[in-house]
Amino acid sequence: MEHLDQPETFAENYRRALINPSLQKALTTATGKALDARNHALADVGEERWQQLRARARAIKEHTIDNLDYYLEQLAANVERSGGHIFWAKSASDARQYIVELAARRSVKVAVKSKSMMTEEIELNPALEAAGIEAVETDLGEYIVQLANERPSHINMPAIHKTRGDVADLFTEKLGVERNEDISEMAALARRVLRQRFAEAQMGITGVNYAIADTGTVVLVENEGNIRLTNSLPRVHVALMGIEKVIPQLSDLDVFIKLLSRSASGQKICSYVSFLTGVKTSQREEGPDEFHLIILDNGRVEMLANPHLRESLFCIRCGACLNVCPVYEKIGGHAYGWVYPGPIGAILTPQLIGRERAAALPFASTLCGACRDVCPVKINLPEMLLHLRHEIKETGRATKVTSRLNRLAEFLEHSVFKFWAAAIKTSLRYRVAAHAARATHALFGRRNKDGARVLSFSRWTNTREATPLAKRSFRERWPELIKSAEETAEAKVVETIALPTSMNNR
Amino acid sequence: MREEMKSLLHGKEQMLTQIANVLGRQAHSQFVPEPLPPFHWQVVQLDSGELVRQLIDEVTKVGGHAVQLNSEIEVRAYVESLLPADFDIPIALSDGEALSRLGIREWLETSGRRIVPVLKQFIAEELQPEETAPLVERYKALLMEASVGITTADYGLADTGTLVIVSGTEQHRLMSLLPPVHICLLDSARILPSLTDLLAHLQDRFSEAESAPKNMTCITGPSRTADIEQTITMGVHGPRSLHLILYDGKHD
Repeated sequence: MEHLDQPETFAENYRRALINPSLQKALTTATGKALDARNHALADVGEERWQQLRARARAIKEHTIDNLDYYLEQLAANVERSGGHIFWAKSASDARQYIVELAARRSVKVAVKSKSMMTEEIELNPALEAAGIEAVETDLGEYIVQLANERPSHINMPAIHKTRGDVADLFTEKLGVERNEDISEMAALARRVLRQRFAEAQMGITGVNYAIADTGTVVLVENEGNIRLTNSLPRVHVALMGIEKVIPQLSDLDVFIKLLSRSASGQKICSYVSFLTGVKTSQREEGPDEFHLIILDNGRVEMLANPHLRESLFCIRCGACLNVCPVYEKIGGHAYGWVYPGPIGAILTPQLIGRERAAALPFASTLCGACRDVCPVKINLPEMLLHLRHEIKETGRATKVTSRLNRLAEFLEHSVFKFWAAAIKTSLRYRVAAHAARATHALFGRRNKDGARVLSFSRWTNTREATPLAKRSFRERWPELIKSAEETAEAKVVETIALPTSMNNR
Repeated sequence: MREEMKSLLHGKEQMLTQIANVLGRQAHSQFVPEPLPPFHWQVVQLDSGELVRQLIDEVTKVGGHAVQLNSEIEVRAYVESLLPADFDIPIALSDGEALSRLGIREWLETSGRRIVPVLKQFIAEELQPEETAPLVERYKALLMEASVGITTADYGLADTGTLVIVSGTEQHRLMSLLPPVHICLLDSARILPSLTDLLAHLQDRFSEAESAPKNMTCITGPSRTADIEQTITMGVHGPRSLHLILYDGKHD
């Protein structure tokens, strides 16, 4: 693989992204379009009904997660009863090993894959390739990203970072075709190339959107039809799910389909929703001979154990928090350095690959709360980001890995806040402190463009105008303000009394 | 093999016990959770004529075509207008019961066109499993050559413009997916107001895993992608065009 951003080098990653003009353009357009589509779809539902859907979806998630052992066992029993196999994978490597060994036993040469963040998470493709099995991504965006040796940069728009020109160049280079920037021509080309791969493939690998415990049914949601091809054509179908994907019964699916389709792309329902239960019992039936469902932990039980972070398991991967995030919109998905980008990525990545490796991510947020507002299952993302910041800082302090300079900075930060706490305790202290601050600014501050003196605070004021302190505080102005307010109120009273008379005159 | 079984059981027990423990329970799944109270989603009640109109509207909005036809002659003429001019290009015809009842099967089979039948008609019943495997592959290749797939649907969902196909009586999983044009016939009496109604209806029928259909697909419009510059393009993997023909099931 070519150079891939890592979470450890977050600062370098985002700096590179910020000075990439074509990426900036692609991000603004794509996130804007996706968000517009979502808002349009929501307006049709109406605010009150949207909130009802969100509340119900959250209640189902809470209920399921609270009884996760029960529902997983029920799901597994029903999948097995209808002829499917279950594999309980503790770690990413367990899951990889199971798939690679199964593929080897069935003499699989080519495996087709539909877009699945889960297979990205367990880094399945390199493992298959190492075993001599060609893994072919079939979602158009994912196919583009695979040809370019990159990672998807968005949960459901993998090639969001590429313009049509980039894709045309890529197809010319990798597929040896004449360059054509027409989007429908490029899609038609991908269809032809991938149909061939579907015809050859002996194994199809998909993710899972929802698994219904009550019936043992796996539900897959898509627009292109490549997931249907992946689970219908090859002899063996392998589906991967995190433990959190189970829901109790078929009727629970309703709110999730309504929320997911609208949040992701503004559709009422995606083009294809497939319900798969077990396997065929005769060669004269359609569908694969074998079905394997892998239920993966890979750090999720730990999320469940942490009451502050348990909500991470509610995510339905709609991508709305990415589209609305002011940070994601500027730096894009690759800067986050791993599989899951955006606000939800900043929460999942430290939990899945370790707080040390992804220490910078929870800090890459303005905590504006837009992600929480759009989240279809009402995940409190800012609260979890804050909690992760706290955990990361505490661990840093406990392990003393911080440099001497960092410790000095920490000491100063502590002192400033101690001083602040002391200064605002009584009104006298506050007034004295305010006067002192104003005097300091006047003495040591630099003149800004309006001529007022302001102290600069290194990084903060490098990119922003610092606001000068007001000459007189609000408190000092209060007596005058109240006086003028009273005068206006009196004038209004006079007016209202005067009004009926003037109307009588008419 | 025994070793493998043991480790599988171990994996399951270990994971479920761990989950139970972090949820504050000693052992897993020792009780049946109290289900959530039912969710009431208010929708506008429509009569059958309004459901037909809404379904047609919604199918059109998502880029499909929909017509309501009153006679077998009209249905046949409409289907014919969508078939390739070249009679050598195969067309796929499912075993949906309505296709025989409306005379489409007989008409097409005697038209001189190449017809790809469903899998269970393609593979003879008495064949051994090792004989069928290459035939299944040939069948898939043949279906990929077909320019049109003609099937019926089991339900329509009016408020989203969705066609629902359920495995069992008809083999329409591949025929509705591989050819670039999908023509789908639906009895107007089989239109439900929404997905909510469908799932509630199926929930009662399939609460036992044995009776759940092996495959059910909700199809809303043609196959689409917006993966390049968020520009919507039809027919990337599945059908490029979708034609719904509503017919009156009582009428014959």
